[in-house]
Amino acid sequence: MATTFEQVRAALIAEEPDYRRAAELGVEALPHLKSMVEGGEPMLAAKAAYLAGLIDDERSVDVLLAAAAHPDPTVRVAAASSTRNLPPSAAEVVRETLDADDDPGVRAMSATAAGLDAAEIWRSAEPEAVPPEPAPEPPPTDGRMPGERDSADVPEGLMPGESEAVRHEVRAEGLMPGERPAD
Amino acid sequence: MTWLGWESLGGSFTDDPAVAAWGAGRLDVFVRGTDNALWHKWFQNGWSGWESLGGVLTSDPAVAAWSAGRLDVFARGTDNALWHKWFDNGWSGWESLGGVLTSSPDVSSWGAGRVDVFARGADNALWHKWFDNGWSGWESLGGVLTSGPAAASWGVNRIDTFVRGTDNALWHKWWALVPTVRVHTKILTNPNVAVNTVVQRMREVYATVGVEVQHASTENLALPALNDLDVGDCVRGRTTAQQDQLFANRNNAGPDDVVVYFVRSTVPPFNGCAAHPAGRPGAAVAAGATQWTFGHEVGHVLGLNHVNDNNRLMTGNGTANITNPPPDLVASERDTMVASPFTQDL
Repeated sequence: MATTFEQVRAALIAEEPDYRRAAELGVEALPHLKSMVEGGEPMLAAKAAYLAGLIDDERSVDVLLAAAAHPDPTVRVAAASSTRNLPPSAAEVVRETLDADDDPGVRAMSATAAGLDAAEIWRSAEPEAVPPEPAPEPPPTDGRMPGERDSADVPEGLMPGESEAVRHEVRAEGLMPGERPAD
Repeated sequence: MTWLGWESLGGSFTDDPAVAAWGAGRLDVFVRGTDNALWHKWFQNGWSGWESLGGVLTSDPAVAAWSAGRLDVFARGTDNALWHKWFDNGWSGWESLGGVLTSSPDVSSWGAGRVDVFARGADNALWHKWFDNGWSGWESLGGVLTSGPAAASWGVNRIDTFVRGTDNALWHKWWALVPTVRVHTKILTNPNVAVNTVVQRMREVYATVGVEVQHASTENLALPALNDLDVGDCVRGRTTAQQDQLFANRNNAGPDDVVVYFVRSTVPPFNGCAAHPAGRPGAAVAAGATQWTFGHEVGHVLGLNHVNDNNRLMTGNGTANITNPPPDLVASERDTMVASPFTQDL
């Protein structure tokens, strides 16, 4: 039975596709993978590009070349990473494009897949140091209720309106104001 | 056991009394007197007389006793602020705790050194201030109150508050520990679906099984060499050198907090990968992932496995295929999540 686009898509749409199992779809998957690479879903295109490299067929190169020309760098990174799964001569064809990519991540992945050290690519891609922006002003103090202002200037340990004189007014010991001693 | 008769304890006041007991055989009663001062009467082997503690109150007092020999009394002053006076080997003066109160305060304490005070604010919301090694600021707990609050605490980290609503019904709000996943986000590349959106999606799904999601911090990481992250086979317990290097970046994260790294892509291409080094719980999520991938990958970190059901968050068929959003978590998955050390009672 022919492999359908939906079967290939179902194998790749998972969060974490099982690429080894998906590769068992075989060469019949390759036209669908090419369609996916040329379609409008970069995540699916990246997965399709990677899977193409795992299918042992010369037509895989066509899929990876399409991925290597994709406007989304994540698809080109996927193509670069998948070149390690290609025969050396086929990998070389795809890397020719990727090694000249504007994106250092793509170039670094291509170099890594070829067994080279990508450190120099990253060193040359480092931006010049930019002085840090000044720290933003701290936000206004939180933790106040609506309408709250600084507390009024009242003597330490007294409530507003309370005066030492009132506080120390002599009252009948043990009785509240207005209260009369029990008969 | 039965109720005994009424006894008059004298005094002259018009508002409600407040009472606290710091131990067996001890009662401390507080009222606002007709002079608007705070008055105090206590029982210990017999009733004391009334003692004035001064102040000019515009509300009933509230009192809590967090241990033997300790009393904390609160009332509103003529400036509508919250005022505090406490007994600890003698009475303190009055201390203003600020705020603009439109009701009497109430107070609860769940243990020594902890006091929680509640009052209605000028916006009719419930406001909260607490003491725990120092006073907090005021925190709004929302609501539209038509009464002052009542508060009680039955144990550590539990407070129940009650108020009257605009429908004259009783409304209840409580503080309790809940299973919570604390997530930190580290951004190497901004994802296509915004970070706040994916966190919110995760929060909505996790809330259906009573697990809170706290977005504890976010940080940009300039690590271009890790932006297309080698995740190998993405198998639990097995990590690459790049994953080890990236997951070492755990600024602000506690040992049981989950850190999610937003990268441009993974190699090979996955929506995300939850494989993480031991002791560094976390996951990587690719920029092109779906709105559900974030919660899905954290689900793996909490111990969840794939299922063959496109109505569920942990579908192994791709969260892009979720047919009935928001996706489900089931009871057995909740048990696994809550049992995870990375779900914390907060």
